[in-house]
Amino acid sequence: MILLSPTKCQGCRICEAACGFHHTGHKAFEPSKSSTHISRDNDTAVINMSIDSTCDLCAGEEIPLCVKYCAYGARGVRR
Amino acid sequence: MKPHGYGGKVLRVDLTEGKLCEESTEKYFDWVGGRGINEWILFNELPVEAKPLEPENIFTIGVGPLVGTLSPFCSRVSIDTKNAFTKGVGSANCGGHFGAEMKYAGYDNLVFKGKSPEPVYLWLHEGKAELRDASELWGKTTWDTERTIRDRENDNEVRVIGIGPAGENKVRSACVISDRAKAAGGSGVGAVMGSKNLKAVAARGSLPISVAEPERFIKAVDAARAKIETFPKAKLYRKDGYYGVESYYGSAAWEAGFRPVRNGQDGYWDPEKIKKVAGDTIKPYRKKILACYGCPVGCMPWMDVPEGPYKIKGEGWWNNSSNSFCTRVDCDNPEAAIKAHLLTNQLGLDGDNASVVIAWAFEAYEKGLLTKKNTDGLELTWGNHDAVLALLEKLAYREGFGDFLADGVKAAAEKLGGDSMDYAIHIKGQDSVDGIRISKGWGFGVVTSPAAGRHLRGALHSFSPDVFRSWDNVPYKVHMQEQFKGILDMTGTCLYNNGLLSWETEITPKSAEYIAELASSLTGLDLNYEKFTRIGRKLHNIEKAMNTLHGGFSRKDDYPPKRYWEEPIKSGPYKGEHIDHQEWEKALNEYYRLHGWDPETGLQTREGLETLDLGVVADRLVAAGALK
Repeated sequence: MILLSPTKCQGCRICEAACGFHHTGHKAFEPSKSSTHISRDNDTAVINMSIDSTCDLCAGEEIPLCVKYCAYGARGVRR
Repeated sequence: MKPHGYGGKVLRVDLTEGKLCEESTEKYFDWVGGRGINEWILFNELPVEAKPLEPENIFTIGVGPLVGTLSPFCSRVSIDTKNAFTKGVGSANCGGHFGAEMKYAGYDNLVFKGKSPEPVYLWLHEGKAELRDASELWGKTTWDTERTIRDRENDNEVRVIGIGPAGENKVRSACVISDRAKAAGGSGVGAVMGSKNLKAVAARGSLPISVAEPERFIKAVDAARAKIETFPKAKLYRKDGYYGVESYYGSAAWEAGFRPVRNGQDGYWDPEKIKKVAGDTIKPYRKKILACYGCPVGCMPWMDVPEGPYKIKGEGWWNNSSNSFCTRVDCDNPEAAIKAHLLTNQLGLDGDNASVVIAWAFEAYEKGLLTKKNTDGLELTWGNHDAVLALLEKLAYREGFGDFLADGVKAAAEKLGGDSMDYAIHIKGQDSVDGIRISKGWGFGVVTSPAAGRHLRGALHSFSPDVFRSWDNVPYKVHMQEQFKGILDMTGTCLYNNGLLSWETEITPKSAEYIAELASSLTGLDLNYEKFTRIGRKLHNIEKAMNTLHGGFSRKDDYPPKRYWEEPIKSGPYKGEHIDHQEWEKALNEYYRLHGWDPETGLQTREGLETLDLGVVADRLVAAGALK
């Protein structure tokens, strides 16, 4: 499973881009294909992270791309 | 099929008629994207006689191909128009999350002409565009505008870029705010947007941005990301934000004169005051660091003043905040300064521009040219942070004395008279926030910037005293930085965090190599660093020509404000530091020579332009009598 740490997340959403890239077979950046979603409350700066059932733990990738590209240590993986 | 790496469309909006039409971005690929496409359209379509705040002006918003991808530091939005201060090049730039969303909605550039009869906002959604009624939004702050649009769409992920009351009231220092906190400031871009009755652009999309050569692109991304991690500052920025890292007490940045003191009367501030607002001491108010879209080095803090008269919370506090709301007006109350910064975001005021005219008023008050009778009863004494806060509100709403200040420092000094023009800090007519006497490359870049007195073109960003005090090779370095900044703005790359890769090293054409590799593998366009650098140089020449045609600028306009030209730094470790007139003249000669411009007039030459295949620009200049 993908492990999430919302307090470490700075809300850049690169995980969404990376996830969509995986699901398009490395063809495109496509947010609607992303299994993970980041939202930020602009009144409080509280960040919510979620993953839906379409996550396949990046089958075929060396490590899940959302984990690879997160620069903030907000994501991990237990396979 | 839409081109790789792009949203795919340029949207043209006739606000007068309420008509929209689209064209393929491919038509403009010679200019890559973002500022490149914006400026080329402006050069060709903006009438010289157009007044900045009249319907004939054109207002453009553009994002580059790297935005919305895995490419690091790529969130930037470029806003380009006719400058509301100078009539020349108007250009502003911001990060945030709007740019990526605009691309996912299917658009690369937006071109607004005319003026809407009623307030409107543009809604971009899944490849479609629509003008919508904004009467309910008019009068709202940028924060409330975002809330209202999100509520209307019942979608918290809608991204909004727009103006606050300052833009609506056509205040020259009005900016455009993205995502509540990211300011595209300078050039009066907010005032231009307001003059068109355009309150905001809101975007939501999930359309794909395809990649031409995925394997090669990912290799380039991974190489750039690995390089970023070799810089220790990357980790520090993520932890303490840009200001926390670069403006701690004792850092050279405080002594480099970047932050003029008391309207530039000095360039050095009392250390006891610095201690109260320095990067490390302001830490208790900094609750979190937030990142722009896709950025691996978040740098913008979430600030929280939990109680008291300056209670406020929100995203934003930048290096220049301590210039605008601290040194420039001699205020050392951190809570009032944080409030001032967040208030400018809400009102849609550019803190850089607004603080210049406010500090000028403080000095005129000190010298007796202004009294409480002129200032609606406000005591404009140095250190009076409550007066600063009151003036920001008055400025944004053009209320009372605020209206007197609202057209910028040059216009205000012309009205007030006396010797007040001597300390009106403007360049080419635009209020200029930058201290330029100690850091030579910074100053030379600020003064020669086509965007008039702004530090986001050729200004050299160095915090090393050995570098920033020296005139050594300044014209060449500024020239290189200008080209490089053009490449960043065409692709949508952030200057500040990209600085991790470049600030303490000399910029050369090869500095663009990694960006060229990213852009080329993403888009499939044939771009290497040499071609890219050439386009960057062409872009700078387009802007130079626009300043000649629209602003009438020449060599005489490439000099510092009178105060900085004549008065040295008065105290501190760099006491006596001044701008050497001979060095300046020498640097100008060399700078024009490097550009292929005429050193005598500072104007472009046909030979120089034809070297860049810009004969068409030369023809326009000849027709206007600006080229022999």
